[in-house]
Amino acid sequence: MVTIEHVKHLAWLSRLDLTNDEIENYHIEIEKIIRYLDRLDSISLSDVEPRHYERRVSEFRDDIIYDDNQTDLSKTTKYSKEGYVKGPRMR
Amino acid sequence: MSKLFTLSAEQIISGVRNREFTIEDYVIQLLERINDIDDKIKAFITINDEALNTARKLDKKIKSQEAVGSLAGIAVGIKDNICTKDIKTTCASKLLQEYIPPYDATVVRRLKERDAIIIGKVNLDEFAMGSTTEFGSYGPSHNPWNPDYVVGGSSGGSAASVAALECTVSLGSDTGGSIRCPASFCSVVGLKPTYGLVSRFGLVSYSNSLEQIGPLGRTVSDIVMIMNVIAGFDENDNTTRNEIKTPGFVASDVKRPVRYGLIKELVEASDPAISKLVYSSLDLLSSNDCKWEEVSLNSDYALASYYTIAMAEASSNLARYDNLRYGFDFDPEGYEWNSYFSKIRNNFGDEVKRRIMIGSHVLLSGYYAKYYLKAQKVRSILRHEVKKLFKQVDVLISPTMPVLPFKIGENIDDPVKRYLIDTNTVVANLVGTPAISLPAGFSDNLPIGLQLMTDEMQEQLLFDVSKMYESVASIKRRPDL
Amino acid sequence: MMDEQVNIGIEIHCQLTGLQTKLFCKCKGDYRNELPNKNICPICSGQPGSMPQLNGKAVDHSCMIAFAMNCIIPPRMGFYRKNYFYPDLPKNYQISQYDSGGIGSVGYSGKLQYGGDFARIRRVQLEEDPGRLVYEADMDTSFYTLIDYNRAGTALVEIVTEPDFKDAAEVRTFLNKLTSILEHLGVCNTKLEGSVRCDANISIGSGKRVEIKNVGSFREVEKALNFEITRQKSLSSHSIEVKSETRHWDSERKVTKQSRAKEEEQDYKYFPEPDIPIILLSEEYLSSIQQKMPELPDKRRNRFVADFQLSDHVAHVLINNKEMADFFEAAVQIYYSPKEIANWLVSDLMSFIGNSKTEESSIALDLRIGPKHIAELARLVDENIISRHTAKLTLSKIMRTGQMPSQIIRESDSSKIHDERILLKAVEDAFESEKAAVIDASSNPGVVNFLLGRVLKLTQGRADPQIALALIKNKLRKTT
Repeated sequence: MVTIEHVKHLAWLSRLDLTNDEIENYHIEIEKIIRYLDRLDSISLSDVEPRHYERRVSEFRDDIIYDDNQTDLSKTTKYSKEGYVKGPRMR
Repeated sequence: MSKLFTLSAEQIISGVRNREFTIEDYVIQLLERINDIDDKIKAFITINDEALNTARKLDKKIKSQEAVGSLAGIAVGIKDNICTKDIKTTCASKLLQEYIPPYDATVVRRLKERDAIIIGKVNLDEFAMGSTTEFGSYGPSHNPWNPDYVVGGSSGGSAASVAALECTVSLGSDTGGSIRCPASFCSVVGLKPTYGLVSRFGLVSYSNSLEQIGPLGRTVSDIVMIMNVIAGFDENDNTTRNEIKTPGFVASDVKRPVRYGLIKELVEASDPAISKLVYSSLDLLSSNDCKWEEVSLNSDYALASYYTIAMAEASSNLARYDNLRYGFDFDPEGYEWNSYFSKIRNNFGDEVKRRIMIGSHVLLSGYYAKYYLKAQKVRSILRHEVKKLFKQVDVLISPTMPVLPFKIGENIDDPVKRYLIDTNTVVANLVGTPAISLPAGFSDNLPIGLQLMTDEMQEQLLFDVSKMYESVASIKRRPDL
Repeated sequence: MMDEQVNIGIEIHCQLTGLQTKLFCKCKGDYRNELPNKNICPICSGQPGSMPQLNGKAVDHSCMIAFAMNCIIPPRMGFYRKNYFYPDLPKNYQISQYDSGGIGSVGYSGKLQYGGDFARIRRVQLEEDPGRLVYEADMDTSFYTLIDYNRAGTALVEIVTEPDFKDAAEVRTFLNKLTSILEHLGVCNTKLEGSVRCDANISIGSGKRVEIKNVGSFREVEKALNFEITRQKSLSSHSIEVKSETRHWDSERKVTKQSRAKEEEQDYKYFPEPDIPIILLSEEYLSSIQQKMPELPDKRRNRFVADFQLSDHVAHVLINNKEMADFFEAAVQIYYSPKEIANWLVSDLMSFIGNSKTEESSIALDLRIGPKHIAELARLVDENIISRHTAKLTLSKIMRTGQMPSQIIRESDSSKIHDERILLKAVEDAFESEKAAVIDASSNPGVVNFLLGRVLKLTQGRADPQIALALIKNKLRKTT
């Protein structure tokens, strides 16, 4: 059972300020979808390893500075002060 | 010359090279075409206002006998979740409605290096989450074959613009069928490459372990041409494969012996008009050395595995949208940070919000093994099954979509019913194999696509077979626009 | 009241300052001295569509640290996403490592000896640093926060110990050892501002565990721990239960403060980072790392004792400051007199270093003296060309001018006086001016050295002490 409380908790975890209507409507859809995903319970795959891709350390990049692609945040940031990005208060 | 916009990529390149027309001529016609019909199609979000200038500069070079890139003349529509430097990239989301990337995606850079022109950015479902291109903040795109119908998605704009002759070719992204579905619904060719063959650097991530950028075009040769430019190892993307540094695919008319495997579960589950067309396609393909047989692929868990992984990764990939480094005008001063983040992020569309929440759910530490880890294990099983099949046959065949295109607004209600239309396409993403959708015919003027799939890194085989099919199927219709 | 057992575990974050670039992009790793948001690229500023590019050398350095901690290094390691929202995180997740039974961090189950004890190392992991939050006035009263992403993406190694420490002094000793190791490996310069941070967890007896977060330097750790231990003991002596909580160290007021933010149970939704493949740590790779690794302090100290016959104490002092140990070896290469050279470094040079105000003092830079200076000085003394006293005076001149000792001596004509006639005159002058001492000579053997000192003074330190001494003794015998 996916409860409304759990949906509210998921909204908090995802930082989404849902309206009450949204919570109610999403609740129905989300529960349906999670029910569908629950079919994964019906097979046991304890012996199976997830696939992964591998690389040797030498295949990763060298430790060499490249600064031709520096980002100028002032072009995309809407609010800044003296070069800092302005953010909300922490308290 | 008129109606240059009907030409294929190959014809444009040779036309330009032979001075039959200028690139400027071509681009002007395209822009006029877009102006004329895009009101009905709504494939484009942004037109590149530099396109004409770039065309003129290239023409100048050609005139003074200077060398130009191998794609000079080609006009590409880029899905609006692929970063283009200095051109707005919105992902059809309010959160990025004003975002102008400070860098080019690798695929865009590679196209520009060969002198392709970016004609504009095309429509999608918000953050690529959807199969109909109805859920973006710019509204739905309309099917060029019948504007009341969906284009498919999420790369709907990419497919529609190519079908409606608004660009030569386009780029899309495919996470669970997002290139092949709209390609099928719009009767164009769309390829999802082998995972890791094309760089994702600059693709705004939805689901990193599933998605690939791929080309859409009107012919198989056009697809091959674009793949030769965009594919290959990229040091900016640690998941690109190092087997191919410079691709050398060919679009030839070579005939080769091929064993086809028709995935019977997928045919049986599709609309009768579609399965009929699939069987007649197989007849066309059959010959002395090309035989087909029925094969079985159990993909009961594929869809659940796909959505678990996609939503989980999405919930993490979309966490960065907090309006601080990029976003829209909303002064953070005075707000407590959690409250600011939550207010901002509530501007995502409904579908995106639901997927983020479900993604958070399946990654909770108590649920991780039950969902995400299990889903990743399902991929291993599926891969094992598919590999077994590829010992038996060379190419797997199925309809791209189990249903015909439907009306805009029709499929909205039941989410699971919506997700089920991805059943045929998700396998290729889960396993990492390449898959292509080819125009196969129509039913009541609604397009049907045929999906071909080969083993990992077997793109050349896929191209050869696709060309073979293209030559015998002869689908040469254009939408009435 | 019984003295209950104190259990302390620590988590150390060290920046890999030995790298040129950040962990996942090619931006400069050293962000200090940059204007805000001037050391960032699409990757470390979390632009949409950006992807991490792992720095191979960071893997090398993290393996070296894992070896130095005597960890087990697995054949494969992988990165995970630690998902949480915070304004200093450009992606609102941190790419880190995690031990969940799957493919995890670079090292685990290690052990490090320090002093007479050892501490178990739970794990060593590689991860990226977040950006920095800055406040115009006070975090508590500001209406907004200022964010600088220059530091975001810098490579960090996290070292986590088991709660094996019994008091703050043990932790201090351990951290000194760790500093020495990090410096010898060349992976982290602990003297750079912000290069090391420490969290600790403390419980007393069966009491609840308290976490102390973000102590900004190793020096502060001992103070923070002592404060907290006292606080907890004081609570329990008044029968007040110690709460399980997170506290912050206020380095200005020297107290631990309850964390004001409501720290909800965090679910980090860990999952493997899909943009970075699993990294193979093959046997060939690991043995090449071990071979190329700089010599670790313990091994070096043993070598100093065995090969150079230095005392344990002297060896220990040299090793504790890597620059001194390097200086010593370089000097010995030039002129082989290890004990003499070590003596000069430990007794004389050390005191000058000790007086240096800045943490970033360096022998070569601040004092203009190099191994060749000390080597020559030692040779001059060994060969009896100058007396030890002259040499000490010469040393301070070297440090001021950077000139070679032989040059200084030539200029001031400070070669030793061996001539007995000259020395005899000085001896007689000394006896003349110190009549009282001479009378005491028969009952006080120290007078001889006193008189020698006078002779040296009279000859500007140039008297050959052995000859002078013989003359003094001779004269005393004749006098008494």
